[in-house]
Amino acid sequence: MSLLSSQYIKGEDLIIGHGSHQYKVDLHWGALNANYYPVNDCHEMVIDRKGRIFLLTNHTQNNVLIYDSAGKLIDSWGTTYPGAHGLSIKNEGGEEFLYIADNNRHEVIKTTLEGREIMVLPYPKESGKYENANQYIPTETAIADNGDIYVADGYGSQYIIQYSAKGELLNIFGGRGEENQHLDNAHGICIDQRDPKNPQLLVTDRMKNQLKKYTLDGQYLDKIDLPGAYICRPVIKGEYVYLATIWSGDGGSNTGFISILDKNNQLISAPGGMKPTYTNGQLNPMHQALKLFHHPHDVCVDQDENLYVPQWNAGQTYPIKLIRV
Amino acid sequence: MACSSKSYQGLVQSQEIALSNPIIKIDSVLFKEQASIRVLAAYQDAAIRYTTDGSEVKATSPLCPNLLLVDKSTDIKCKAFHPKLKASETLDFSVRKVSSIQPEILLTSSEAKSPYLGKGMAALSNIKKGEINFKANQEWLGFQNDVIQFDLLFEKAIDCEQITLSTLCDHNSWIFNPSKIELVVGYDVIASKTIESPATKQAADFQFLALPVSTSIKEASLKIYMDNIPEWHSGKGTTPWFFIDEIIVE
Repeated sequence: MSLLSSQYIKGEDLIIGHGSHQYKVDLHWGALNANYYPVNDCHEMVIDRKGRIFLLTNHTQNNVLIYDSAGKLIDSWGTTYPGAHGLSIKNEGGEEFLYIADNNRHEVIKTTLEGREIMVLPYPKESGKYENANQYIPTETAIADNGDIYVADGYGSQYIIQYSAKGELLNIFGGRGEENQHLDNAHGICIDQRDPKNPQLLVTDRMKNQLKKYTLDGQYLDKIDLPGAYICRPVIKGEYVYLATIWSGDGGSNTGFISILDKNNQLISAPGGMKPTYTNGQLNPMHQALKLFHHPHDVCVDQDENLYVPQWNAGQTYPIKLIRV
Repeated sequence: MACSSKSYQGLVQSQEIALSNPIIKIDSVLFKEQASIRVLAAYQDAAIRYTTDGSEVKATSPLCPNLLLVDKSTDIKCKAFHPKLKASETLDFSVRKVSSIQPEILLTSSEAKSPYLGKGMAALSNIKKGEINFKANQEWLGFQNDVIQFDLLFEKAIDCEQITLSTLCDHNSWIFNPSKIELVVGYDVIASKTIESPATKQAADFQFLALPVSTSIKEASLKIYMDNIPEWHSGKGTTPWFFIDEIIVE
């Protein structure tokens, strides 16, 4: 141990991000023994009331890995989710449930935190918009306070589908096209209740580098331009929106960073990316600034506003922790 | 030092992390008078240094201005540096000056293969480049022949330094560079260049194939020879595609 200490060169902790949202980086936080708990793509993460952090990976040895905040593995389950992509958590009357969007199964599956399946939502045949399940490749879900389930078909036909808590089809909107309400890679969705009197849906339009706003019944409202930022899903904590930005610039490999928007949906910090600047109210095109992230796919925020970042196509690496400074 | 069930490996240190590449925006890769290139460091406070003589960029190379103005064909290398971080990779790019006297270009071998018909022969001298996503626009001419020949006819004899072919190489799409380029006047080969067959698959990229000429020409034929696809490729033994979007006379 002392030999290691004498060889240790004192350096400087890297700090990434800008302004009010800056972080130090722990690359090893989520690392596990890949012989026992392997991962492929680490897609999404959520945190429960007890502070346990759930990671969703498309490795069917253990689709769900559950960590404590120190990165110690508490539990694992899941062998039937080969296309595990989207993960949301919702407190429903005191009990929390997970919603998994599976690309390969073309389904959304509701489970308990222990992995017991409660409900399966197949492709919305009755909407008349789909000829078969293969056209439906759901990427994400968002659950409203009244239990309604919104599903983003981000790799399929680009619709947003609204179900009741029991799984009855209520509405379908979005889809492909050239107008503002249409979507191109609707990768993520969340419910924005920062203005409690005016809840909205925030939907990712990744190929256009935009977030789109809709009412809860699917009326298009507005868009937020984030040029150069290929964003995944929006995650809201407090007044801020956190978005893993999987590619940047011209969209080449290994160009990811994290985007953080304030209550006015202005980009105020880009950990791993260049400092955000605006000219005449327009965001200047964003690029990665440091070769730290490969392809960040989600951001999970804990009660201390630390961030956890799982990555897609990153050499089967485990999630990184960004420690708020 | 805190010990937990995982060995303590600490927080990321600045000196372990490299800068991302400089960001460049070129108004036109092919130009007649001047090219302007905007060069920006992605990481605030990083310094971009550059060379234009083909040498490697070092921490002592000159600082690159935010706006680089170039009035001749240049190969530029640039790199980002910061005292607390690792330097970026080197970013290589080229801009090419096009002679104000351009030939009429006639295709005398087989036709370009649909759908890669460009905008006809005019595409080869319109100083508009195709894109790496070659289906995106109509600037590329695509051929699938062993020999492709263009006749270049100038209004009057010009002193030609070199002829550069602006091509696309995309092995995933079976698009390869030629094995040989010749410039022929009458029966004489006045300039020739062989290109080594690639040993491994390369990422899609633009290529400038420069054929030094250094002589006066008025009428000449440009002959492009294509070898069969190499052994290591799934299309081995067949004729590859050849994509060209400009013939640049310098």
